[in-house]
Amino acid sequence: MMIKMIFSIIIIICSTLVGEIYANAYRQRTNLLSQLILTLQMLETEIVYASTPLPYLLQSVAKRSKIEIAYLLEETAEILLKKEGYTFSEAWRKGIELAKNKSELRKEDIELLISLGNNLGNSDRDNQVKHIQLTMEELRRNYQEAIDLQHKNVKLYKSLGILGGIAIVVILF
Amino acid sequence: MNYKMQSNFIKKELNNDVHLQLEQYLCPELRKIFGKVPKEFKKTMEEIRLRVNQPLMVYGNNEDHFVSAEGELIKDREKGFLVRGPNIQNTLQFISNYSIYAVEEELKRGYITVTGGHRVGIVGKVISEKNTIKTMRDFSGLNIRISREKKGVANPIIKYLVDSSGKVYNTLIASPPQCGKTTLLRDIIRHISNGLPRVGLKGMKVGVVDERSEIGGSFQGNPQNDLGVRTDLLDACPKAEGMMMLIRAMSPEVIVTDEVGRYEDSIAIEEALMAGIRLITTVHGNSLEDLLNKKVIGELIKSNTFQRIILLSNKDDVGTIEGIFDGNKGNNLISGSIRNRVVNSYDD
Repeated sequence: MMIKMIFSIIIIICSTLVGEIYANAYRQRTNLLSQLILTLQMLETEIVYASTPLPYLLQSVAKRSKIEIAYLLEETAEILLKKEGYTFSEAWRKGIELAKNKSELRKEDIELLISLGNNLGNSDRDNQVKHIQLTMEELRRNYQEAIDLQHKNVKLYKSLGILGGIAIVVILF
Repeated sequence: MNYKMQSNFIKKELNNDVHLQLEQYLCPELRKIFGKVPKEFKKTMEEIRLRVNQPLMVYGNNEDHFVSAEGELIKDREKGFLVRGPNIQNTLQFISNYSIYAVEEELKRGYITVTGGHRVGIVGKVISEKNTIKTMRDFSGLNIRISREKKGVANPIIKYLVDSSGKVYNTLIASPPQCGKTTLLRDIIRHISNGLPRVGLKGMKVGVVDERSEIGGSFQGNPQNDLGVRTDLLDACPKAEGMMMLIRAMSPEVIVTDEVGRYEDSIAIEEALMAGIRLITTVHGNSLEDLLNKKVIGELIKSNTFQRIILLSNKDDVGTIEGIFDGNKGNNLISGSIRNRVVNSYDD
């Protein structure tokens, strides 16, 4: 009886955790998107007021960004500073390739970043601001979507986890 | 960490090797071609020219060549490597450190100075607003001018520029374009600033107004060329204002500028001379008669402002010294022209 009790509790805890992991992915994405918007804001400010060249700019913004984003920025900056002949968009794409597996960003978010990379650095200040703001705008839209998804799915996966655990226990014993 | 070590290594290599340093500014395709260009030519190469939909060209030793896709120097333009728009755009990315927005001011002036003091001239579509140039885009041509700091080019002439008290005369350097005026000027600055006991020259405080960033070859405000220990450099500053700023702020004993020619300049020059400051400057011109006909400079010469006038040509080689004239008496102080081809001798 006692052993049965302990096993049931373990099963329920495990399935709750699995539910939690799934729910967490949603939370992480919204979190990351809002951080990404902040990072872009920093990029914009630095470009407008300091005109820092991109390799150094990416490094300094990376220090103030969330770790997943910082990773992308630092990898890109490193490729650029090596001066091996990659253009900015190529280096940026490589950075994204390296960073994307470590984050919960979705394909549509990645696409936005890639298209930003195609424009970053190759026009004057006014144009840069326009490109960054456009990307921020679209990221905000993705963020709204992500929030909606989060509200819907976090609860769902959480209760699914607990209920699934209970169901297994009921069936087993 | 790993990366840091690597970048230090690259830097040291590049300092020794001007053309390698330049090649990192070219797009990969062109980099490959320049890797195959004969080393002998690269040592004397002065310009690399990219024009959209035209063959790649280089200039050196007083003649220009087309460059084939295999890096050979040829005379047949049909076989030259055709430069395309993306070549120019990508090259410009590397030149501007991937950030066109960071070089907006430079674009307005039409050139960018890069590490090593090399200058890249840019043409394209200019966007203007209210009669001033706002920016440039749709770039159609680049001219990469290789700057070679030739330490020692002033060695044979510096003794003619020193007066009995160990100070330097007011000096004018005149020559047609591309005869090494600025190179000579740079070395004169270095000598005056460091001092040269061999010819009785004391080290003097030198103020340099470098309107076109050619003398110091400044990259982000730091001169890339050796201008000596007592030199203060105002980078990218209009000459007249710059001279006044230096007089007020830095108490120079010598003021050096490039290409004097406007009316405002002469006012600033008078101000400087009144303060007892020596002046060294350059001007475009072929002969003494030619100079006398120029408005501002002609007046200055007639009023005996300059005690020394140096004439250059590229008769034998770039930087041949045709004559050093006494500005008051008008006689030539050297008997024949001095053929001056110094490749980095560091003896002084």
